[in-house]
Formats: sequence, structure tokens, C-alpha cells
Amino acid sequence: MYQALTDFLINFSAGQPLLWALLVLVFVAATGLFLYGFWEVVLRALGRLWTAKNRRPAGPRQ
Amino acid sequence: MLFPNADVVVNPALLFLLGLIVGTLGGFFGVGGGFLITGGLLVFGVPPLFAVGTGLTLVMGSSIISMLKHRGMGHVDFRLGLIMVCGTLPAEILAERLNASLDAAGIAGPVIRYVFVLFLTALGSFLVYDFFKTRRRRGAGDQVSTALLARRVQSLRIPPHSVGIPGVGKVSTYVSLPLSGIDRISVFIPFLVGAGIGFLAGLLGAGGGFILMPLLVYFIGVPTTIAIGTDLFQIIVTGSAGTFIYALGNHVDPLMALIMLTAASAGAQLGSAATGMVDASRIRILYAVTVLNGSVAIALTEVSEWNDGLAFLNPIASATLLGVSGAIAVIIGLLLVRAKLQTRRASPTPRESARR
Repeated sequence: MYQALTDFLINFSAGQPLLWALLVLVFVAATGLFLYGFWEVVLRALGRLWTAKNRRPAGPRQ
Repeated sequence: MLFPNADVVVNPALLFLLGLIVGTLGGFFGVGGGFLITGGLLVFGVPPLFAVGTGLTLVMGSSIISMLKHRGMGHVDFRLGLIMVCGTLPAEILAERLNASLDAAGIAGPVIRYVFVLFLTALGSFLVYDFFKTRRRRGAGDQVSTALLARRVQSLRIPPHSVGIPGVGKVSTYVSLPLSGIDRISVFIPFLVGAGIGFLAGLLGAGGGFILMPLLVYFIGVPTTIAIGTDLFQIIVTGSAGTFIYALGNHVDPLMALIMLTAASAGAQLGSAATGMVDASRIRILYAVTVLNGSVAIALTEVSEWNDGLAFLNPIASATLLGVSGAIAVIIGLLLVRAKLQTRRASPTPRESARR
């Protein structure tokens, strides 16, 4: 699989420069958006868990 | 691991570490981190043009993540960013051509390093000077030593004062930038700043943010947090244009960029969150240390190539670059934790109040 990916990267970048440049742009932008969304979801979920944990009223001291 | 497009073997763990540091510093300082990425990749043995092209690709990706985070905090002045972008794009294309000519003459590597060292040293020294000059003032926070210069720049009147647009009529060449706290400024000032940054971005293979952020703060008088967010917006455009141009010339390694971007995304979240919670003068002094560190590392790399006997300086440069930058990323993390704890102490949750 790594070999197939390597062949694709080398051949496509050399044979189709315009499409390659557009592919790189779209790939990086999409990856950036995905990673931003991923971390937002993860951090919000963690924030909610943290808030819920701290909102629980403390019981009377023994 | 072999990276097929750049045809170079680099340890992916080093790339991951570089991406994490770049993301944290980029999100915190509002820079793409190009000076660190290009410098780091050159130190790792990546060919100069691939270091520049792949660096710009990462700059673009990590800036998208950091800018979105800053937009959520209201730190992005899109109007100011759009005016600068109009000047940036043509200048960047011009600089890319100059860079290609330097490469054809076989001097791209040294020229990129010399210009980097010069700019980073000058900028870092000025930031340190400004920090010591303003720190004695009580609550210096966002005060800078060039506040008077910034006010003069804002009050500059540059002709033509209006332009005729068919179908619209006469339009003033002065704009108001309320988010940046600027009542009236000639559009030519941010336009020219954008053009200058675009030229440097194309020549150095960086997004230009490492110069633009201090320029916005010290020269135009934009508050530090707004300068950081707006800078990131502008870097997305310069980074995209640079990525496209370098990818056309087949000087981008997407695998290398992907590894670094994955790590940078986590760092960008941390750095961006810290910006809103840390004192502006602290942001600027940490930034000064970062750029001076980049300058030292690149200078050591250049010296190591003068003579085989000086080759031992190359690993020292690598260790300096990653070590100091990593330490700053850790400091940013600690500052964020401290700020969060202070916020919690100031407004305790019901559970904590009950405990007290």
C-alpha cells in the first residue's frame, strides 16, 4: 500500500502539475477543517463532563 | 521514513514534534510558524525548496485551525485582513519568481538563511527592547513603546482621498476599523503593509506572520489579540497562494505536511486558547525569545556548512531550535493552566463553594 501511495504521489505530481497543486490545496484545507472540528467536539465534550462533575452538590460532611 | 516527493529520509517523530510545537506557537502568537518550520526542515536535511513549499503547506493548514479558534473569540478583523490581502497576493507572486531565479543560480538555500537570520535578529531585538521599555509602567498590558508612531501612521493622509468606481460613484480611500480600535486610516497603509509581507512571504517561504503581527501592533496600533487573529486570516491567504505555486513546481511533500498538521491541530487549540488568557506583554516577550531562537539556529546551520570541521554545529542548531521552541510551548501550556486556575478561584463552582 505504501508503495502504491508512493507511486501515485510521484507520478501524479510530475504528470499533472495543475491538478496536483489543486489537490494539495483542497487536501490540506479539508484536513485542517476536519482536525479543527474534531478538536472542538472533543474539547467541548471534555468541558461538559468537567462542568457536570463540578456542579454536583457536595454532600454534608460527616 | 522516506518521503517520496522530497526524496529524503526524515524521522516522522521529529516531524510530529515540530508540528506540535509549531501549532502551539502559531495559535498563541498568531504566526503560521513558517520561520520555525522552514528552519526546522532545513535542519532535518530537507532540500531548501521542499522545506519552503512544505512549510507553506503546513502554515496554511495550521492557520486555518488557529484562525477559526480565534474567530470564535472575536479576535479577527476581517476588514483589515481583506485590505492587506489585496496587496499581498501580487507581491508574493513576484517574490516566488525571484526565489526561483535564486534557486536556478544555486544560491536559494544560503540567501533564504541569510535573510531569515537578519529579519529574525532585528525583530527579536526590537521586541526585547520594547518589553523592557514598557514593563515598568503599571498595568502595561497592551501598551507598546511605539504608541505615538502608531497614532501618526493612523493619521497619515495619502492621496487620492477618494476613487471613482463606475456604477458606484466616488468612494473614500479611508476606512474605519472599529474592532481594531482605529477610527480612520488610509486603505493604502494596510495595503502596502500587506504587499511588503507578501514579498517576504514569497522570498522566505513563510506566511509572513512573524513580521506582520508585530507590524500590526507597533506600526498600525492594533491591539495584540486582534493582531494575532487578523494575522492568521491573512496567513491563510498567503499560505494558500504559496502552497499552490510551490505545488505547481512540485516542491511540496504532502505526507510530510500531513504528519505535521495532525500534531499542529492539537497545538493550535492549546495556543489559541492561551492567547485570550495571558497578558499581552508576556505574549510579546515570549515571541521575542522564539524569533531570536530561530535566528540562532539558522545562523548555526549556515556556519556549519562553511567548513567540514564545523559540521558538529548542525545537530546543535537542531537541538537549539526544537529545545527552546519546545520549552516555550510548555511555558504556554503552563500559563494556560495557571490562568484557568486563577479564573476558577475568582468564580468557584457551586461544588467548590460548598466545600469552602
